[in-house]
Amino acid sequence: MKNITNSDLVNEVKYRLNNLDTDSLLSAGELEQFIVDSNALGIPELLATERPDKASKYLLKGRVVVIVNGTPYGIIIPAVLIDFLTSPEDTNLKVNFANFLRGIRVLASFITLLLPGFYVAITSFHQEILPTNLLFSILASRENVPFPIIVEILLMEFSFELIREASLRVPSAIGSTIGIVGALILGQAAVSAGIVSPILIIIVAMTGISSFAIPDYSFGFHLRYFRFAFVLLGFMAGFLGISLGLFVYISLVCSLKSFGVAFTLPFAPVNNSNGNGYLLSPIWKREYRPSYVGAKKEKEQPKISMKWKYNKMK
Amino acid sequence: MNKLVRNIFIFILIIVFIMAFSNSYLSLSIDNLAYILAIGIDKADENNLLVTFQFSTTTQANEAGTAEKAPAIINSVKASSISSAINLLNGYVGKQLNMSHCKIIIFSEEFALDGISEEVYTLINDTQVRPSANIVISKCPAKDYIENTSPELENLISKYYEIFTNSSQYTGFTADSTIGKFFNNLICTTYQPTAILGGLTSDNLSDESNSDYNKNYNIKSNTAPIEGENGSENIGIAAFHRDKIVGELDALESIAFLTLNNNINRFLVSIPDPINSGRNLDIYLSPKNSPSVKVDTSSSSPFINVSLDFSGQIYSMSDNSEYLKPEVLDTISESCKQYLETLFLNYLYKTSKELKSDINGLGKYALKNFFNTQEFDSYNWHKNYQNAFFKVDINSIVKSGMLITDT
Amino acid sequence: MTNSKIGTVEAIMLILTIIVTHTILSLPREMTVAAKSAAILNLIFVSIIAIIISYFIVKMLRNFAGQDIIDISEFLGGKFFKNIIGIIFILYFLVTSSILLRNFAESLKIINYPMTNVIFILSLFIVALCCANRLAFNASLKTNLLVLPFVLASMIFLFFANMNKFMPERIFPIFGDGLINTFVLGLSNISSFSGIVFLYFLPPFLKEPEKLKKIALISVGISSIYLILCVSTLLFMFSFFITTNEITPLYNATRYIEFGNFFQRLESIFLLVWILAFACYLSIISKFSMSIFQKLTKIETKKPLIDIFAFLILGISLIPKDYSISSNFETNIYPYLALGIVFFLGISILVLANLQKRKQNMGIKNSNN
Repeated sequence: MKNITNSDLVNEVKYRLNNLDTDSLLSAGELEQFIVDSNALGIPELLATERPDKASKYLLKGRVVVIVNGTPYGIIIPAVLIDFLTSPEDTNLKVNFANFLRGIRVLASFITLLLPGFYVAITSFHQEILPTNLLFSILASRENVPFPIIVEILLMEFSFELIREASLRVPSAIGSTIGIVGALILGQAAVSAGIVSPILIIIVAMTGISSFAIPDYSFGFHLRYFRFAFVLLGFMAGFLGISLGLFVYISLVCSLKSFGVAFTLPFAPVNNSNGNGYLLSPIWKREYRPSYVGAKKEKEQPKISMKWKYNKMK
Repeated sequence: MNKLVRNIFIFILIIVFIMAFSNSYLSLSIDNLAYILAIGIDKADENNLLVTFQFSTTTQANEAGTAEKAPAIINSVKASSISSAINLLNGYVGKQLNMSHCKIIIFSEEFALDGISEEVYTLINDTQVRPSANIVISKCPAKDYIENTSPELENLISKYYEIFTNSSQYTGFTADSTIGKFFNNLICTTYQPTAILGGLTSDNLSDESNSDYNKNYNIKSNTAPIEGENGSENIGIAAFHRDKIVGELDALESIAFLTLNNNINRFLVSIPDPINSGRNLDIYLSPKNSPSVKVDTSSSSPFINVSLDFSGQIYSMSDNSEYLKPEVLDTISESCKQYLETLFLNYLYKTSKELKSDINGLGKYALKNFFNTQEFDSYNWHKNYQNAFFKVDINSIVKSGMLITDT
Repeated sequence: MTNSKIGTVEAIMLILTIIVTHTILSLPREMTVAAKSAAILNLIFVSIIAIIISYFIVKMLRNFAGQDIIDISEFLGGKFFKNIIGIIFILYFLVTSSILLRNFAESLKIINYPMTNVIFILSLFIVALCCANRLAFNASLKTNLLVLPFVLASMIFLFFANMNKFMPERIFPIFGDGLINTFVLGLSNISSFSGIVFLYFLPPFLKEPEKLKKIALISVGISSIYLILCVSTLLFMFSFFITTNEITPLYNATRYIEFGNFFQRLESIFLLVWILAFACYLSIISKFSMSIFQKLTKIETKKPLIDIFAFLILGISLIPKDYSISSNFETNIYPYLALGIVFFLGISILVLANLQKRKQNMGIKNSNN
């Protein structure tokens, strides 16, 4: 690895690790919080992984991996936004399927962050977007519900988070059952009792399922955390609130730096991604390492990597 | 300490903003609104309108999943304008009225004779009204139209209002006139507005009207020989000059109107059969391309040359017909061409001489003859349209029958 | 701030921002009313002139490598002149952005928030501005880079979605109100390219200063295509003979979009994107004003200025008593302000400075000889 990784990056990591003053450091999570550039409202800037294949893939791409003795996690430095939406399985699949899954994950992150907020904003301020039949379905489902939409949605969102947290503590034999049964019974019973409307259950369920589709746990967590802000903004000022909230959120994300690498590379600032953008290119085209890592050896494959095919064609 | 102060400040700011926007929230939240589906405007007396509003309760979906028909609620109010009518009714109905899902606006013919520009401007000025809401002029009072509309195939009446104008694409008997288009044509110097002609189904179905129906489609709303549970019908187009209604187009003339606007997919005509005299031949015609219009404005009587292309398929069959022979098809095409030429010429002269209103906007083809807008204004197109001469060239090719070629 | 450098694409998007926000409000309507059916012809003519002017500006800036117009005015007239020019530009940025903000907030109030006082809508923008201004200078530019393509895409979508309602014959008569109105009086429409003002401030910030010419030409080209799209949407959809001036005419155009019975009334989604673009515009303008102020006063950090400038914008936007005054400012006064400051003042400073530099160089040559 000595002739791949940028030595400045390695030195910076070593510098930060050597200049920590604390009595004890027990886990990779604590180390991550110590050495990261900023903990701005919880957006993760370093990747934490348990998988050795993921760590080795990133090592070969020119990054640094820090492993804390006694914990199964390794921290990958530096990490950009698109790394949190990629899974190590992607490179094992055919490119079309991998890109399809990546598209689904982007959709999932939007849904996790914005769907409840949009629902509240549309039903509170912008019902003209809804087709008339859908509007009347929503009205019909809300006939007997005593709560306003904001109370309903906060109630169900918090219940969902409670179920999620509770299912972690229940012994694994009945853990998954409790999760499913709890969610089903809670949802069904709430609808039958007329406390919430069925459409809201669908919204909350979709949001929950989308949050499970995000590969990285902290990234998904931060999206779940921020969606409450968007719900509040949508309730307060409709699309104006959500729009301004999105503006502040995007500015925050754009201002982050992970060990000197801008968080939103290669999209902002625009950088020639050389096949290292969000969508995967076929394996024989992945010739370069990401330029933002500043690797010593930028090229990882020659132009013709499938020499057997080239020789046959000759 | 600093952080605590900052957090308290943020909390207070959020509360202030919620309170500030709560008034708008209350007036726009889904729980507090009653959605108007249709508005009808009649003349009450000298200075007053009779405004009728139609709402719908939500469908009650039962366990099996089938929805029952949603009853429609109709309220009428006498007021001096639409906005005061809404204001009055807001005090009567429990929820606040909201027009963002209003699908249809009906004016009675009696009201339209006096001019409807004020009401149209008011409605377009409202942020809630959709420009895609249909505008209908009813030959009966608007209140009767709304009360008698009960669709047989749809559960929600809003669904019926959304789709009933789709028939204009394949019958040509009415147009999809929306209030947005009406408003744009009202303020344009090369167009005159039009609206859908609505009315009640006639209860009389005597033999005379039957024989008339066989010969030609000169039917309009209030006279069509249809029986059914739905009490209202929409056949024909109401023609306006500026904001006053000046005449009506019946079913055939509506077909001509839509063809000249390039707004129709296909239509059925019934021409006299050139082979078997005494019978009629039903042919499905569809325009091959958009009409080509040339306007000569060298004199104060503009000369308008319209060329149209159609392709047709024979629909009605009888025994002893051979519809695949080229000479037979040629004869039928010739007969069809003459029929269409007569139809279009009659229609165009009607708009020019009788209605005195350029509802097809043929003036827009005259624009390229002028160097600048002052010249066009001084030509006074709308006045000169009354002296216009027309020439219609039809090229209609009847291809064949459909599944059967000869019997 | 002095460490942050702007890339080429970010600079292009930066120049586009002003035009985009202005078109959301009333610019396309002004152009169609002024030039009637010759609006597109007028726009093409004005774009060609704008491209020539921007090329001219870049050429003159090349003689002062790495210096922006504040430094050049110091070279021309000393510290006093530099302060005056700096204050003029700061006031221009603040006043125009505040009035545009007021107009936008008023139209939002009419459309969506009828019962809310406009001061709360303005305050919401200012709160978002305060939060965003605390972040790095580059963050606003990157946000702008991410958001602006969506705005451009929304305009293209608006154009194509409304195509079935177009009446192409509205382009005739081809010379509109006459040749003089189209080409001579219509020249004032060049104020719609007031985004060129950022060209004066870009040189010290650029990562690759030699690309300034490319930035200028590409951004003016894209803005003219964008403007042509907006103007043609309005021209072909609505009549301009007897006009009913509406607020935010492009918003009016979005109300007509329908795909069958399902997708109708999509205008709120357009509003979502346009509010994002507007917030980006505000953030960039305030950041540039703060950097000019920092340059004039040589203070070390911008931290204390953040809230002051935000509240300044809020204060100036509250000055007009009602919507008619601010709307009048935008349609009648703003174009001439932009023409005067961005084009006449800026170009004259550059020309005079270039002449002075040439004189100095001639003087040095003579003394060497």
